[in-house]
Amino acid sequence: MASQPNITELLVGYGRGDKEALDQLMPIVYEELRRQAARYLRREQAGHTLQTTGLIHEAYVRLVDQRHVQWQNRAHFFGIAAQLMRRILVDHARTKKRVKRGGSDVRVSLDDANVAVKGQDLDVVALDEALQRLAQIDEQQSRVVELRFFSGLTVEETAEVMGISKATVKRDWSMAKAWLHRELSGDK
Amino acid sequence: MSETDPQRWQRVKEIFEGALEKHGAEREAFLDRVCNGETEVRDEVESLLRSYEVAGSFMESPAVAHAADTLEQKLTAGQRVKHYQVVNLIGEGGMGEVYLATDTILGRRVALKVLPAFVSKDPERLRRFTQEARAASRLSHPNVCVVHEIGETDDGRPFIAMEYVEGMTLRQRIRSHALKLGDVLDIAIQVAEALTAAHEAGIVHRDIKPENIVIRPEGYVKILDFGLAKLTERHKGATHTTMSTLLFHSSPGTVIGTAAYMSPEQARGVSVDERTDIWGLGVVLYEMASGRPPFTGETATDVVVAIVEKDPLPISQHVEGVPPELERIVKKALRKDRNERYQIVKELAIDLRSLRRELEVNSLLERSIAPGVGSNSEYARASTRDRIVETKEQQARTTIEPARNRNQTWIVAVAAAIVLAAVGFGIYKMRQRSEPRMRVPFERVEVTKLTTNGNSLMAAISPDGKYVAYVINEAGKQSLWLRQVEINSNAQMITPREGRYLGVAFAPDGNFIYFAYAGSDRNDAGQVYRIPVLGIGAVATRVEGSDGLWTTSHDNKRMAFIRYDPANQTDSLIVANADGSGEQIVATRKWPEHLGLDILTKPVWTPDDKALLLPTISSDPESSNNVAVNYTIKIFEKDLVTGAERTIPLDPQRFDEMGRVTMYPDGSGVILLAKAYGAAFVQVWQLLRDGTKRTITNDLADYNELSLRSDGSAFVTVQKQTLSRLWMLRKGETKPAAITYGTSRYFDLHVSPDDKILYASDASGIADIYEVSTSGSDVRQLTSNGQRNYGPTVSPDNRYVVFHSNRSGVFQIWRVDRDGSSPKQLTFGGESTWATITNDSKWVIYQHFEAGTPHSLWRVSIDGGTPEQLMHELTIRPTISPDGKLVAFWYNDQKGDSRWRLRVAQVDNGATVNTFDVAQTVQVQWDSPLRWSPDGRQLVYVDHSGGIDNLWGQPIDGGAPKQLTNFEDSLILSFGWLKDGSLVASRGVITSDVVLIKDANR
Repeated sequence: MASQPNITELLVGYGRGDKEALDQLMPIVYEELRRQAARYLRREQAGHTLQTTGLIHEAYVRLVDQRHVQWQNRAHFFGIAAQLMRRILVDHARTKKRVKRGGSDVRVSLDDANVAVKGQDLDVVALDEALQRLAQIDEQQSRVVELRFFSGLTVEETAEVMGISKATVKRDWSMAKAWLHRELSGDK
Repeated sequence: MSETDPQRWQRVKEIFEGALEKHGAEREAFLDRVCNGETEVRDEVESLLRSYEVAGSFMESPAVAHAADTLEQKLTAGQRVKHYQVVNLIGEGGMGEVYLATDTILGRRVALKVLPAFVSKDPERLRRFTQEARAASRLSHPNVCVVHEIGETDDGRPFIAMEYVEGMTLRQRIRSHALKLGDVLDIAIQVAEALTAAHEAGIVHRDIKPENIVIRPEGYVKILDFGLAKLTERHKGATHTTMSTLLFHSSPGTVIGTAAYMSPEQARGVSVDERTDIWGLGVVLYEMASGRPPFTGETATDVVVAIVEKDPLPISQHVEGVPPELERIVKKALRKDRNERYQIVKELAIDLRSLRRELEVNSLLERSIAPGVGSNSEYARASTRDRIVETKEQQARTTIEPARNRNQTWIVAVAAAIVLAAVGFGIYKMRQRSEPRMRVPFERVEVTKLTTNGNSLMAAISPDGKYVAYVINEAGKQSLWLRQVEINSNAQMITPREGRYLGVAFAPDGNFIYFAYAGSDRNDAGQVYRIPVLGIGAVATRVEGSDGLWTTSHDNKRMAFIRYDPANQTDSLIVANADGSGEQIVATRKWPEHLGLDILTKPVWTPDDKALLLPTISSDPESSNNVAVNYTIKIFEKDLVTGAERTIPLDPQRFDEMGRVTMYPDGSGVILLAKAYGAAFVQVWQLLRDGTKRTITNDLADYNELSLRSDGSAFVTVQKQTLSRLWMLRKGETKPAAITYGTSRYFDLHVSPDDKILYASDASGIADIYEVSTSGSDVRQLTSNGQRNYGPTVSPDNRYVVFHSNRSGVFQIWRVDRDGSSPKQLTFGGESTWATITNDSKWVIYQHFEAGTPHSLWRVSIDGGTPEQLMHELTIRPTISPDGKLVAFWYNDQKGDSRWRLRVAQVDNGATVNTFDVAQTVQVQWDSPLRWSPDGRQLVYVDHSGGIDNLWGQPIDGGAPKQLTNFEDSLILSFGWLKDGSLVASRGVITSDVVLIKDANR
C-alpha cells in the first residue's frame, strides 16, 4: 500500500524541512487551538480555572493515530505544534493590536474589558519578540518557553519532548521567565 | 562584555540557578562567595532575581488563555463586514464561521463565510482560490453556489460573500429521514450536472461530500465551496488534498466521517483531477442509498486503508430493494484505479438518468431504500412534500416524425438525442426570483438545446415562437432547416449546397423565412431570398430591393422599416400604412452614418405608437490609429408627432466585439451579442434604459446570431464551444495518447528549451498563459492580469516568455521572466501579435498592424526599444527555423486569387528564399499555426481535407507536401515537438448548436 499522508507523515516531512507540510499542519493546529480556546472560555465562564496540562496532548490524542506513531514523532508533534501555536497566537495578537489602533469598534472595548478582568494583560507580540532575542542567547531556554507557554505543556512533557531532565526544564523556565519579564517590563 | 557573550551567560545562568534555591542571607552569602568580585555578573544575576520575584503569575497560564477571546471571536448580529451586515451565525467549522448577512448595497441576503486569518498569510494560495471560486461562479450553473465577493475583514480575516441558499445540507437530510430512490438519483444527477459544467471549464471541486451539497426546499441542489479546497492544498498546481485537509474540516468525533470522502489518489497524495470528483460523487451516492459511507474504520488510518485497499460492501448488504444498475454505477464510480472509473462525469450522469427513466416506467421512484425509517411520521410528511422535480427531457417523447411530402425530406427526431443533449446543457432555471420589483427580462431563463449536430451556423425564431429556422454545415455544404419547437420535428427547407448563408430571419408576419445567401465565390456579396414557411414544395425566390424587416404599430395601422439605399448611400427610416402604401421617410442618414445596424434591424414602436426606437452603436477608436475599437450602445428615438430626434444613452459598457443588437419590443432596452472589453467570449448581453446591464448567458462559449421572438419572451442563438485536450504522439508511434483529461481549451502550444509545454487557455474565462510538464501534470499559471494573453514563446536561453496581451488596451508584445514575473511591454502603438524569438535570444519578430497598412513582420530587441519593419507585404505568423537562419510565415500578395502562400526568408536581411503554394484545404486564418519540423527541413501546418485535421509538411527544398499524421478525427488547434521528437498537439472539437432561451418569468 502506498504511504498515507497523515499527521505523522506531515510531521516527519516538516522535520525534514518540507515547508509544505507546515502549510498542511497549520489549519489542523489552528482548529485545535480554536477548540481549546472555546473550551477555555467556557470553563472561565463557569468559574473553573484552565487546566494547563494536556492542551496539546489532547490535540495529539485526537489528531494522531497512536498505534502507528513512534516516540520521535510524538516529540516532533509537540515541538512543531508549539511553534505553530506560537505563530498563530502571535498573529492573532498582532491583528488585535492593529484593530485597537485602527478604530473604535465596540468589540475592541469588550476585549479590553476581558483582559482587565482576567488581570492578564500580557503583550504576546512583545513577548514573541523578546523570545526571539532570547533564542539568540539561549536556544534551549527559548524552546522551553515555547513549549510551556505557547503550548501549555507540563514540565514533564517538555522534558520528554526536548530530551532533557525535568530539573533542567525547571531551571531554564525560571531563568527565562525572569529574563523575559525584565525585558517586557522595560527595566534592567 | 555583552549580554550575549556565551561564557558570561553561562556564568550568570549557573549563579542564578544556584541563588534561586536559596533565600535571604543565605542567598547573599552564596552570591558573595561565587561572584567573588565579578560585579557585572552579580548585578545581572540580582537583576534577574528581582525580576523573578515580581514576575508572579507571568507566563504561568498558557498563551491560549490570553488569546482565547481573539481565537473564539465571532461576529455579532448587526456588525458590519464592509457592506455586509451580519444577521446571525448559521454554521461553524474548521474553516471558520458562516453567517447570514445582508448586502446593504444590493439589499440581498448573502452567506458570509469568514475564514481564519492564517489563510491570508499565503497570498498566492488565496489568489488561486479566488480565481477558482470566481471561475466556478462564472459558470452561472444553477447547481453551483455563486460567490459574490472575496475580501478581507478589518481584522485581516479573508471572507467570502456568497449566494445564500435556503435549505438543508445533504448531511442533515440524510440524517433527518430516509431518501427515496428518486431523490437519491435526482440529487446525484444535479450534482453530476454541476460537476460536468465545472469540469468542462477545467475546475475540479476536490471535496465533494454531503456537507457541501445543499438541497433547497423545492428540490434544487447547490454545490458549495468550489475552489475552497485550493486553500489547503499543496503548491505547484498539483492538486493535493491530504488527510489533514479532511481532518481540518472535521469536528471532534467525526474525524473518521470526513476522511471517508477522500479518494484513493488523495490518500496517496498524488495529483488530483476531475476523476476525484467522480469518486466523491460515488461515495455520496453510496451513502444516500445505504445511509452509511462505503469506507469506515475505527480510526482515520483504518478508513484510509479501506479507501485504498478494500472494496465496499454492496449497498444491498445494508438495505433491500437496491436496483442492480445502481450497484453497478456506484461500483464503477468507486474504482480504486481512476483509469477504471467513469472518465468523465457526464458518463455517470447519463447512466443515472437512464436508470431514473427506467425506474420511472416501473414507478419505483417513490420507494424508500433506506432501512427502518420508512414508517415514521416524519418520513410520511416528507414523502408528500418532496416531489420529484420534473425535467424537460422527461417530457420529451420518443417520437418519430413520418416523412411528410414529396419535395421536402422531414427528418427524424429521436428523443434520445435530445436527452443526451439535455444532460450536458440541461433545462434549468437560473437565478432566484428576487423581491417584487420591475420585471427584468430574462432574469430567470430556461435553456433548451435545439440541435445536437454540433455544426449549426445560425438560427432565427418565428414571431410566434413556434418555429426555428437554422442553417447547418455538413461536409462543407450548408443547408436550411425548419424546426417545429413544440413537437421537436425538423424539416429540411433547402438541400445542402456549396456557398454560404449570411443571415436568416422570419418575416414579421411569420409567413416567410428570409435569408441572405452567397455562392462559393468569395467575391459574391450575396442576395436576399425568401421561402414560405408552410408551402409544400415551395421554392425560394429572390427578394429585390433592400428594405429591412418591418414592425407593425400597436394599433395595426402602420408599419415601419429601414431602407438601405446603396445608390444614394443612405439609410432611411420609413413609416407606411399597414398595407405598404403611403410611404413616408421620417429620418435619413448619409453613410457612413447609419440608422440600421444590418438588414435585420427592426424599429420598435413605443406603446403609444408616437415614436420609433432603434438601437445605435457608437464606436470609439481606442488609439489614434484606429486599431482597436470600443463599441457602446445607445437608443435612437424618433418622435413621430413632433419630429424630434434624440439619443438615449444606456450603460456605457465597452465592448471589444459586437454581434446582433435587437431592441426589446417594449422599448425597455436592447439584447445583444457582444464580447465585453477584456473578456474572452462573445456572450448575450442586455442593456436596459434604467441603466442596468447584465449578461444573460454566462459561460465559456461564444454566441452567434440572435433572434428574438416578437413578444420578447424568448430568443434563439447559436452556442459555439471549443474544447480540446493535449495529446502526445511519441516518436515512432502512430496512435496519439491524451496527456490531459477532461475537456478544456488549449491554444498556442510552445515547447520551451526545458521541455515544458506552454499554452494559452481561457478555460477560466480569461485567457492566460500556462505551462505543463510533458506528462500533463504540474500546471503552472504564468500570467494573471485579468486581460487576454496568447501566443507564448520562450527565448532559446530560457530566460523569458514572450507573448501578446491586450493588458494595455490593444494587443502588444510583452515579455515576462521565465517564471512569469517582471512583465515588460516590448511594443507600443498599432497592434502587435504572434512573436517568435531569434536563436541568439536578442530579437523578437512579430506581426504588426496599423490602420492603412497590411499586417506585416517587424522586429524589436528583447529588451525593448525602437522596432524595425522587416516585411512590407501582408505577412503573418512568423516562426524561426531551428538553426535560427530562416524565418517562415504566411504571405499574401493580395493580387489575383489573393491566396495565402508559405514563404521562407533570411532572418538577417529578409531576402526571400522560397515561396510555396498550399492546398485549398489549408485554412489560413489569423491563428493558423505554422511550425518548423524539429530537423528544420519541413514547414508544418494543418490541412483540413476530409473534415479532419492532419499535419502536413512542406519540404523547404521544394517538392510536394507530405502528410505527417494520420489522425482519424478532431481538429488540431495547435502543435509542437518535444526534445525527443514526440509530437504534442492540442486536438479537440468545435461544437456549434442552436439553443432556445426562454424568459422563465413569463
